[in-house]
Amino acid sequence: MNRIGSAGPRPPAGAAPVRIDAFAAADVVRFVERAASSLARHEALLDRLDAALGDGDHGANMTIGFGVALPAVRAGLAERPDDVGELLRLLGHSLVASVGGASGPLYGTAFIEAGFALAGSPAAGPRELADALEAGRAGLARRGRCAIGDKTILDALDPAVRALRAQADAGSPLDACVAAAAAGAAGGMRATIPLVARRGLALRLGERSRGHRDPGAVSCFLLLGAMARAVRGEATT
Amino acid sequence: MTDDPISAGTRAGQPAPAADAAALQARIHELEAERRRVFEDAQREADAVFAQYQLSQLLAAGGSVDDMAAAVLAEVARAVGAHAAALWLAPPATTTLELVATFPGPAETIEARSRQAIRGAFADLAAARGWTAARGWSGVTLPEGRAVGGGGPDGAEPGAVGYLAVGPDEGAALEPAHTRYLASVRLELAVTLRAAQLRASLAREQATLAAILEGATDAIVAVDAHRRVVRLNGAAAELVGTPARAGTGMHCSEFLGCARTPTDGAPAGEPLCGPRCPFLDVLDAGRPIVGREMRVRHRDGSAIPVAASISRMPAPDGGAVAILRDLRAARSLDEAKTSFVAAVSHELRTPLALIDGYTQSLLHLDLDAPTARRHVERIAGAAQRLASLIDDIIDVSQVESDALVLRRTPLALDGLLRAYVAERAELPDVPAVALTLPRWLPAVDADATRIRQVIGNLVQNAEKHAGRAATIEIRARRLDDGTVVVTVADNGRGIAPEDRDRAFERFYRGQRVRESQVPGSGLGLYLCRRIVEAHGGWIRLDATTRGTSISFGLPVALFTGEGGPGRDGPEAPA
Repeated sequence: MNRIGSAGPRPPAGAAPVRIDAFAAADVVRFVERAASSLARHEALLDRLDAALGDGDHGANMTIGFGVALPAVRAGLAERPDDVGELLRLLGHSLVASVGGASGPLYGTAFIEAGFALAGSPAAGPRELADALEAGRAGLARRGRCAIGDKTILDALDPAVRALRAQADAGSPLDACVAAAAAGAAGGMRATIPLVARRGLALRLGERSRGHRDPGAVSCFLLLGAMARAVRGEATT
Repeated sequence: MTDDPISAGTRAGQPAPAADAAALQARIHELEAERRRVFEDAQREADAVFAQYQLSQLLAAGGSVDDMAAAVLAEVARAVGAHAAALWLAPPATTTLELVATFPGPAETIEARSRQAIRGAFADLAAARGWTAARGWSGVTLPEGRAVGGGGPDGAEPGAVGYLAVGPDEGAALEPAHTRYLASVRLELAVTLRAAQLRASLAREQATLAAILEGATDAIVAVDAHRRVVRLNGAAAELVGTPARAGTGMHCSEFLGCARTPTDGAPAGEPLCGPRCPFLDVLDAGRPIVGREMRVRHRDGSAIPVAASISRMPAPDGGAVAILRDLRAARSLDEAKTSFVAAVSHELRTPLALIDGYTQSLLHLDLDAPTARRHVERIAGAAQRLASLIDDIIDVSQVESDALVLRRTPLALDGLLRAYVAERAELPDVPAVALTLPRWLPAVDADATRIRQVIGNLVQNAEKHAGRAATIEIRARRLDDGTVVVTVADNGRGIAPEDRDRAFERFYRGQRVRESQVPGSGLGLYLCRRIVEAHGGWIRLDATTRGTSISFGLPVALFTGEGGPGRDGPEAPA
């Protein structure tokens, strides 16, 4: 497998030897750290986007939720340092319980399903990570009863998962795979602007929902960006 | 997902012998399958809870009935996997269901009362929209309030809020989980949609009440239990000269001016509404006050007589509401009536005295024939003045008691004016009237006798006030807006500026006229106004620098037959 060309040294990640081109339990913690800070930085933006389509609290909900999840996954890592799946499930359950609105159960389900797919593994390579994210995508679509083009989280998550799968199949290193996923999410997020919402509170708006980025798609992009930085080992900003 | 989701299984199998290893492997697979089944069951339950949560969130977000209905229906259709769905609602206090939303597509109004009718309506909708889902339809009554019991098989239950019908894929029936979903959400749907309907009708009612309040010409002031103004209408703001925004929150004594410094010479601090505040009386005793005369004070300090009716508002908020009728107009009418009675008494007495005097002379003196004849002529003249005065009084009492009865026919005003001027020319000792007419005038739809009375009144008025040497002119013309205008002008003293506004009021006689000893009842112009307005026309004083000029306009008659009056054609088709 490929070595990550990281800008700085990865922080020590527990007792188990971790292959550097794989997504391990410690990477989950690094991901949540970066996600929490990125969401906090974009809290106002997400709230503003959500105010146009929903009830205006998506940024606050996500910031609070990841803030609660961070100590939970840190504690989880200390207990089960060799099970990335278990840690992702723990993250999912924490999000279901602590993120307000519909996004808690939706993101929570995605992480729970992804974690179930990786259960028992100390780390995931690119293909396993693609499997896990596909399981997460299926869970989110099932729980939200949403399809591509409904102007939801799924519209950013789906292109991200497909880009990750394509890079994994091509044998690209993990950091390139996750970077491609983040780029795919960015494209999907922008593509939600002209869509008419068919799920969630924005359903009430009908045609009036056109012309706005979906806040869920934006937060999904932020999460994948955080995952890309976590894999590259960039410091938390 | 990989085929073997738990890679740990291979680790567990390594130390065992081959046969045991196979059994153990099978056991592991079994446990794996069990674990996955439990996980999926848990996820399905979570899915169901989340579906209800999403619907509740949509319902809680509120909005108009139509927006909510469309969004809720789309959500429910998605939740039960329906290809088509429709939602009927009964407006509050009715049993008629109206189609308010369809999925997919917009709603149109189809009425359906019974389950049978809904089934038919749903089939019609499906056929019209090309839905493939009509056969396997399913529906749920949205119950009113706590009446959660299901509807009878053949009817939306009485008092139901509405009915929701869904059509799964053709040939398919609803899954049990979806039926459960419908059953579990229907009460929440019913309550929320009914609340939205009630909110909408409350908003409509409030708008209507506000319009009534604002449209009232009497001042309406509501105060709370502490006599602070909580609501007032435009007439109230105008009455006391305090805008609604400033007046709200004021104490009643401040708003109605009891505490204001008088400017009309009244002693300061004089109570306006008697020794005790009537609001306080009503609030304490609860007995309403009806039509009590009192005064309020305008911001400029002047006292305004009003008739006040005050009643207590029902609990729990309490407070009182006052309706104040401005009595100034009625008061000035009273004054005008009093002066009318004085004037008329005088007018009646003068000719009567003349008649009496000349009759006495005729009875008791031996007069020569020419003198006796002069006396009789004077008597006849006085009798004529009496008769015309009494005619005026009778006319006024007629237009006051009933709507003026008009016998309207297509009337050529130019012909009428020519005839009037010609007749007048026959009379001795009256100033001539000059008549100016355009080449053609369209006919008006009017009562010829009444219009002639108007013209006669205006000319006599001119003659009376401008004197015998006056020149009187009548002009007629047609305006582009379809009005024929007649103007009667003289070169007399004109009407004083301060009297112009009230010239057409009943009993009103200007100061200058009263001083001039010109006889009159103050009824002539008032009668003219009533007659012209009964025709749908208008009358006004023209702005002139000299003399008096009064114009009245009458709408041109509309004829339905062909060959209506052309610009230069004859003016009176059948």
